[in-house]
Amino acid sequence: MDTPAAITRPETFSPGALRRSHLLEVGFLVLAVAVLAVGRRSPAVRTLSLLFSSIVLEALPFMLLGALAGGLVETFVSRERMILLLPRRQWLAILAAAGLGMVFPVCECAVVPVVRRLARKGLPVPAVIAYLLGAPIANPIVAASTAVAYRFDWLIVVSRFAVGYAIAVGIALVAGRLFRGRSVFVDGLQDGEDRAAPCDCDHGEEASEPAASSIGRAGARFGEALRHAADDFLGVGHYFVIGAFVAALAQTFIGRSAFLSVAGQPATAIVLMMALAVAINLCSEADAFVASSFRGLVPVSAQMAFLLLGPILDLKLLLMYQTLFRRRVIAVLAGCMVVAVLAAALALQASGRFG
Amino acid sequence: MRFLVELVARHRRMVLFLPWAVTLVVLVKLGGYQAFLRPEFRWLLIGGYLILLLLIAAELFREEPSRPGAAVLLPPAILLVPLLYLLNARGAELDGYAFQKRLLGTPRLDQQGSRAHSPTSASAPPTGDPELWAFLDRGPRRRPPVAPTLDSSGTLVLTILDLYRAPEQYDGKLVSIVGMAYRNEDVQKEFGPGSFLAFRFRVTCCAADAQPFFVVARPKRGQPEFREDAWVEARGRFRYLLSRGEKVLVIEDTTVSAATAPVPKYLY
Repeated sequence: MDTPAAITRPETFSPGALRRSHLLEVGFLVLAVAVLAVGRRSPAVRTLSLLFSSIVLEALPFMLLGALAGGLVETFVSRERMILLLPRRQWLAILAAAGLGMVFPVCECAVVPVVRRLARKGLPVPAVIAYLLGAPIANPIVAASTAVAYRFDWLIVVSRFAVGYAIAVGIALVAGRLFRGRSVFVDGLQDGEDRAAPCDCDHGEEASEPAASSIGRAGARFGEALRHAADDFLGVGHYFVIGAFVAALAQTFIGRSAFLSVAGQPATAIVLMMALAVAINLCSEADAFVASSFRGLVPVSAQMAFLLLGPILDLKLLLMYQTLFRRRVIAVLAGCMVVAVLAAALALQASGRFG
Repeated sequence: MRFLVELVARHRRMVLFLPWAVTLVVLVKLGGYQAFLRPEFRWLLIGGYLILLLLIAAELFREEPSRPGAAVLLPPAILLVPLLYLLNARGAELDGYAFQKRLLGTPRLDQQGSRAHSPTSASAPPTGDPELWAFLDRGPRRRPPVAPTLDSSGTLVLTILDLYRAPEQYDGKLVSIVGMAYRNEDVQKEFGPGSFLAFRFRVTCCAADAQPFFVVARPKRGQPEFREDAWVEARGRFRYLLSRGEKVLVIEDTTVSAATAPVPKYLY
């Protein structure tokens, strides 16, 4: 059995990652409490409170729903079944894997443990990468939250879905060529010596007690799924809160006119929004609410850059990818992601419909 | 102390989920969520509440495999921070501070105060808020206004958004709107002594995307004083002007009186 150490839970990261993670978290707590303690009656902090609360309230149900979906997938869908769904031909497998999020909707944090299991089951590297990058964007929960956040602007919803899927497929194809015959995964991942398996719940295994009724077993597994959901929500939700706070701070203290100067230079705005996406570690099931709050401040193409890059590359993902890939592989993949999203956002801007 | 930390760490998920569940119920039940979200988003919060209930029920049967350290308290502590800010936001509203931050350029009359231009004669590029321009320029796609109410004095009772939706229709008519007052030296310098902007925010999804819509009110002489950010009713003759390339919505000869805050406060 794997050593229990949930990758979805930052508190169980390796010691180095743990320290870095704590710095961010403690820093946020100190800042958030200090701001409230010092200026809670000031107009600026009252406005900050309104904006911060509204972003969190709007996204919270989607985060809970995403965590629930991830928990159900984790508990009820075995990795073997997922692999059986994929075609044998590589390019077909890539196309299918990038769209697996439609069947198994998980956010970018929940997807890493699933992908680790898939890699251990021997799924080809390009298909692993396609699922890893495709699932957090091309899934129905993310589409629903994007639609709600953008008031059912289907152009944005469909574009995010289609471009995200295309980027996942493109990077997977490139990775398939670049890494052919090379070692991609961290040592021990595929030879059974992995020290960081997603959980210790024995999903997919039948209950060993013959007396247990099928209803009782189903109930127990549903409870297990809910507890996974709770852990995922805890492990990911706090990053969203930090991101929402940063967005609310920006909106409270920086006038729209300052953003307008950036909006006049779409390329700059795109790069800035990409940097923001990497920095604030939002969950893909909630990031549309933060992106949409920049509406009217930066071009839609820059918001799209934010929506496309955040689910596949941010600081917490860089930490989590280290439990999956070798560092040089992460560096190459990160470079591909940045270039692909930048190119896509510039193309969207040039189309004239995302200005 | 160590025992207490361990106890909280062991039940950290309950410590997180219970207050959030109670908060969602209170917000939905009392309608307080409308300070943050569109009214129809109530269903989102109810959905979130139901999932929280499931998670709470599952926690009752969880067995913690080992003694958790204090570090596991950080994520739930962070997830509880928004509740502190929600408490601080109680009774708060987006006011002149937010308006000032979100306003892109003040609409201006030309130097002679002329208002003889036709809105369709614009040739200068727009310099004001692009979203307001887009709203005014939507033309045929513009939603027809709800049949306006006439009060006993024959004045059209409208919202600021109604004026933006069909400015030509109301040009020259007597109108009454309710908005929050924003007044500073620049406004008075541009529009004359006593002038102020009456504004409300339009929300697409949540308060974070609130967009200010405003009209310039030029009061009659001898109008009562009112404090900044006060809710006021402005009655007067509506003018839709174009000046120096900017479209300006003005209420002339305005009578100003105190008003109660509208419910909901946002426009949609």
